Parts: sequence; structure tokens; C-alpha cells
Amino acid sequence: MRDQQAPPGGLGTASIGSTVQVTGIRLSDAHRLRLAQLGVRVGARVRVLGRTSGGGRVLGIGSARLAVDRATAGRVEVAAA
Amino acid sequence: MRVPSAGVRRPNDRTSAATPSCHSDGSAPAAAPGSPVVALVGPPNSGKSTLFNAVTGGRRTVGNWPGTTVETGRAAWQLPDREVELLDLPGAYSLDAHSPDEQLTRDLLIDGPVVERPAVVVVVVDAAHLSRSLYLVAQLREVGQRLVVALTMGDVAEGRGIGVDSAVLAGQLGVPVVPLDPRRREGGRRLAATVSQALAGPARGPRAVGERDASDELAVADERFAWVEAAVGAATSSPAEPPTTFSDRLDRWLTARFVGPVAFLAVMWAVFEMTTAVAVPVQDLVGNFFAGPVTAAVETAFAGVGLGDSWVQMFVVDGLVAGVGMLLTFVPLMVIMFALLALLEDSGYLARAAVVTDRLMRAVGLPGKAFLPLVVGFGCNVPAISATRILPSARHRVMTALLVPFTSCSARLTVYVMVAATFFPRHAGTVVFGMYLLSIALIVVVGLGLRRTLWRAVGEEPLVLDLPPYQRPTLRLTASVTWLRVRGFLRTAGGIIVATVTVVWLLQAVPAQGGAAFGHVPPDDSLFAALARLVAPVFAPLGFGDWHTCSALVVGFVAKEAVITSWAQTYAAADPTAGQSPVELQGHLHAAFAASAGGATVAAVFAFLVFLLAYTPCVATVATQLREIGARWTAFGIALQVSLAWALGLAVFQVGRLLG
Repeated sequence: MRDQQAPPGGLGTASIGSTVQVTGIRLSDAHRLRLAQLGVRVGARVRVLGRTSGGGRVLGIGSARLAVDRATAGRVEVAAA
Repeated sequence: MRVPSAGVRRPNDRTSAATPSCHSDGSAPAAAPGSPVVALVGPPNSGKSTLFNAVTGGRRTVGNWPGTTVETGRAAWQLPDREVELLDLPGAYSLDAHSPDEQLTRDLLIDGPVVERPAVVVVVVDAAHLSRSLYLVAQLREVGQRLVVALTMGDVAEGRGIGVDSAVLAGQLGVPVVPLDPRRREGGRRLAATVSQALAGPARGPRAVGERDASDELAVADERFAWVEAAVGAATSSPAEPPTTFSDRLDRWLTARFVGPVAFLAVMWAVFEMTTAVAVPVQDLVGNFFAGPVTAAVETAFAGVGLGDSWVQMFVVDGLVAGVGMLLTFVPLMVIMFALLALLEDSGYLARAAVVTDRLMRAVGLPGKAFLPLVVGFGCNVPAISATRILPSARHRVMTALLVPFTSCSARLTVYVMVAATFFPRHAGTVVFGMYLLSIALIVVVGLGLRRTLWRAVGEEPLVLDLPPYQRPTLRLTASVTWLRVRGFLRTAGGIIVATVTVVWLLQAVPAQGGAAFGHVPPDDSLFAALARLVAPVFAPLGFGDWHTCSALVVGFVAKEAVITSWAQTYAAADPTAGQSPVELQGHLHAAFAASAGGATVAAVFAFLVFLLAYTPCVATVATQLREIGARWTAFGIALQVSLAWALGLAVFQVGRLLG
């Protein structure tokens, strides 16, 4: 099952409906901090809920929902949860 | 502005709305001088502004999407034993200064001298998103501030199977926690009593901070997250896998690749179609009321006191009744428009609209977040320019503030509706919708132009946007936001319009040459007509070089509502026996456009509408730009708007005439 496998290309390639664990974030400190405040930080479990019209992702972190653009999603490294 | 009372440094002038806004905040009663100050802070969408309104009875613009609260609000708040002044600070996830809003909150709460800080800080915490809401508490607990946590959104959390034990949470945080529901006005008294107790007691010392390298921002943040997670883990119970919610199912469609943009366009079209279809008949009723009974009553009253046919009567009938009366006919339009926008805000849809338009925004070099002020601009440009403060980058703020005037505000809508109903009665809704599409196209084209010329090196800001759950809008919230905006619109527009009407009437009453007495000048011989004729040749290549139309556009620089009042005035003065009902005004406009366009009426009307869309919206917008981006960029913006409007108008008329 693809959903159970670690996507190699970061969050952007994780399949819709999968749950993944954040292993690294390749963004500037300020943007990493902003994501962390919204729940996306190393070790967090993230559900990939949907693909946005611009190629980004809708993420579920607990009960919160977050939209991130394509480039940002690609810089969040994940492994299967 | 009030004189600051002791105990806290007031948010300085850059946070106070000195400029009139079509959406200006209501003026809530202020607390007595010397009252202790209580600050209200919390992340966007936590219900902070709603709580502020619920406990103070004051009114702030509230909405269910990030960045609504851009400026501070203040109002008196009656506690059981004393009165305090409550400050509503901008929404912020943290006290790390990433934007001017967060900088302001930081300045006020932790960077300023201790004696100038608020006596108590109430942190509004969203029970459904506890982790992210408590980061602020972690930061504030490090400075020994008197804190109270107001726990909102309990119903949303419960719906998702999340249980929060407020007593355990209070123990973990070392701060009193008050569960409440500001949307239903529940829990306000408990919060007042708790704040009162906090004021009477001593401030708690700072929390014990674990080992961390204070110079490493991320390490410091990690320690705070760990502290927050420990508190959340102890105080909450939640399902291992959160269930898929109704919002999730809806978002699968509304933010999706193809359906999302189509749904967005459909929603926007429905809003404007409903606005025109419902409002126009009501407008006619109100217009006829002013043209008939009100005018007749005023004339009878003047005749009764022996001032019949005097210049005083003419000023009141041709100036105030014709002009301001016509403005009031647009109140139904404003009510419907603002109510629909408020429903979209409160329902949570506008945050999805920002996601859908992110790619478009990115194409013009702006982050998706910049869409939020641009959407606000479709209501009124003035608060939209203020809302650019949610953007962290100064260049993005300047660029967005330059683009906002191209968003078609509701004042321009009044003119579109009137012109479209006059010339295209069967397709008025579609014409108006087309103007909004053109407005969006202008934003994209001008944005691309600016990016490729002035800001070639600007980097991209990532989109990271919180999506609040969809919710059923509450009637009270929608009604209060609508009333607030309509009242703000009338207050601001009313003042500008009365001043404009007075100046226009005076110019009409003064003869351009000898032979006529003051107040009894044929319209064609007035100073107003003489000045308008000077301007008219500029617009002749655009097909609307008629002096009535040109003078209306000149007056429209003051405020777009004044375009119609100016027409009403000049045509009423031209034909005093005709009254000034909408139908008669339409006849005058048909004749004027047909004459000035040499028969190519439709091309001239479209050229006029395009010019109206693109040129400077109003003096209040200019004043707000001056405040936000400075004189140089404001002057650049005005030059850009006027030259672009003229060039587009010329192209539309000349091409339209050729196509016949």
C-alpha cells in the first residue's frame, strides 16, 4: 500500500489520505517557527487531507486544518507514521 | 484620541484609525481615566473579537478568517467591583514579531517597561486547537504577567470528540481558566469575576524554564512546545485518529484543483447577481419616494414660510434632496452586499477562497495571504489598505496597497448598477459581474507589471494558512457586522457627500459670466459647467466628453457615491420640473452618452465603466495610503490609476466604435 510507505519527495508527494510523521523541515528559521506554531514540527503526525487548486496540500494536525502551498509542502520531509 | 491613562502605554498613533473608513469600527464607550487596562490577546479565529464585543457591548469588526482584527479596539468593561479598559489586540499566534501586528502586541505586552504593561492579560484559547493557542501563554508566563485564560470553542472541540478539563488545565498552566462561549454570550460574567480576582491578587512569578540556549530561537521554541504539550496531554482527551469532519469533506471539493476555482467564481457571481436582482427594485421605490413625496413636502414647506422658488429652496431640493436622497437609495444595496460578505466571512469560506486564489496571487508575486486584503477591498478599499499589515514583508505591503484600489469597491458597484440598469436593463447582473472579472484581471496585469519592473527581486512568501471549520453563521453576528459596515459607510460617505453637494451646488449657483443672479443661473452658464467644459476635451476621445459626465467623474475623485449624486444634481438643476426620479435621470444619461459618443453609445458606456473602475477610488483611500505606504508611493499609485484608466477607456471606446 502506497499510503503506508514513506514518500521520498517530502510532504508534497505523500498520497492523499495518508498519515505521516515530520522528520525535517527545509525552510528558513522564521518559516520553520511559524509552521511549528501551527503544529507542523519534527515528530508531529500529519494527515494529508487534500490537494489544493494550486498544487498545495490541506493538512490535518489533530483537529486543526492547515493549507500550505506546493513549495512549502515539498520542503517538509516526512516518513510513514 | 483620548489622553492615555496611567498604567499602560497606549497603542501609538499608527494603530489608531485616524482616517475615515467605510467599515470604520463603532465607537464603544471608553473607560474612565485612570482605569486599569486589561489586554485581550489570542490567535486569529479564536473568537477574540467576538468576546470583546460580548463583554463590552462595544463593536469591533469580527470575522471567521485570519487577519480581520488589524487595529486595536478599546472599550470600557464593567467588572463586578470596578470598571476597566479592555484593549482588543491584533490576532497573533506568538509574541515573535513577524509582522507589524505581532510587533505591536509584543511592544505592548513584553518589550515595554513593566509599569506600562496592562494590569491583566486575557489570553483567548481555542479548545479545539489547544496546542497552538497555548504558545502565547507559554511566552507570557515567562515574564510574570497576571494572566487569565478564556477557553472558547468548547462546542467545536466537543463535536470532534475532544474533552478539555479546564480545572486540570488551570493547574498545569498556573493560570485561571474560564470556559465560555462568546458567540452565544455565555460565560462573560465568570470571566469578569475572574479578571477582578486577578487584579486584586499579586502577579505570579515567571514559570520555571527548562534548560535551553536563549540565543537559539528554535531551541527556545522547542522548550515552550514541550511545556504546552505536557499541559495539553494532562488536560485533554481526544480520539487517536480524529474523525473526518463535514468541513474536511467540503474542503475536498472547495479547495480542489478544478472545482475550487469554479465554486469560487460561482459564489462571487451569486453574490453580485443577488445584490443587483434584489436591490434594484427597492432602489427604485426609495428613489421615487424622494423624488415625489419628499420633494413635494419640502417645496410646500418653503412656500409656507415665503421662501418658495428662493435659492434656499433650490439648495435644499436640488442639492440635499436630489443628492443625498439619491445616495440613500443605495442603502438597500449596501445592506445586501455587506450581509452576504459577512455570511461568507462568518461561515469560514473566505479562508478557502484565499487558498484557491493562492496560485493566482503567486503569479503576481504576492503570497496567498495578500488575497485577504484584496477581498476586503471589494467591500471598501480603506480597511483593505489597513489590512495589508498582515503581510510580513514591507514590499508585499506596498505592492498590495497599490493593487487594492483596483479592487472594485461597493461604492463603485452603486454606479455600475445604476449605469447597467440604465443601458443594459436585461443584462445588468452580467455586466456588473463582468466589471468584477475585469477588476480581477486588472489586479493580475498591474501586479505582473509591477513585479517585472519595480520588484524583480522579491522572494516568494510561503502560504501557510489556518482553515477554520465551516460553521453556520449566526444571525446576530451577521446583522451586527452588516449594521456596523452600513453605518460606517453612511457616516463616512454622508460627510463627504454633504461637503461635495454643497461645493457642487455653489459652483452651479455662481454664474460664469454676467447676466444671471446667484442661484438662478441656467446650468449651461454656471461656473460648474465652465469648469467641466475645460475638463471635457480630455474625455472626448473616450466617448464621454459631455460636461455632466466629466464633472461627475471629477466629483467622483472625492467619493464614488458622488458620481450619481452629481448626475442627479446637474440634471435636476437642468430640468426643475422633471424632478429627479431614477427613470428621468436614465433618460438624461441615454441622451448624453448618445450625443458624446457620436452614436457609439454602448462603446462609450463601457469605456466610462472601465475608467470608473480603474481611476482613484476616493479621498479616504488616498489618505489611508498616505498613512500606510507614504507620500511617494501614494503619488505613484494615483498617477498609475489615472493614466491606466484613461488608456483603457480610450482603447475600449475606439475598439468598440470600430466593431460597431
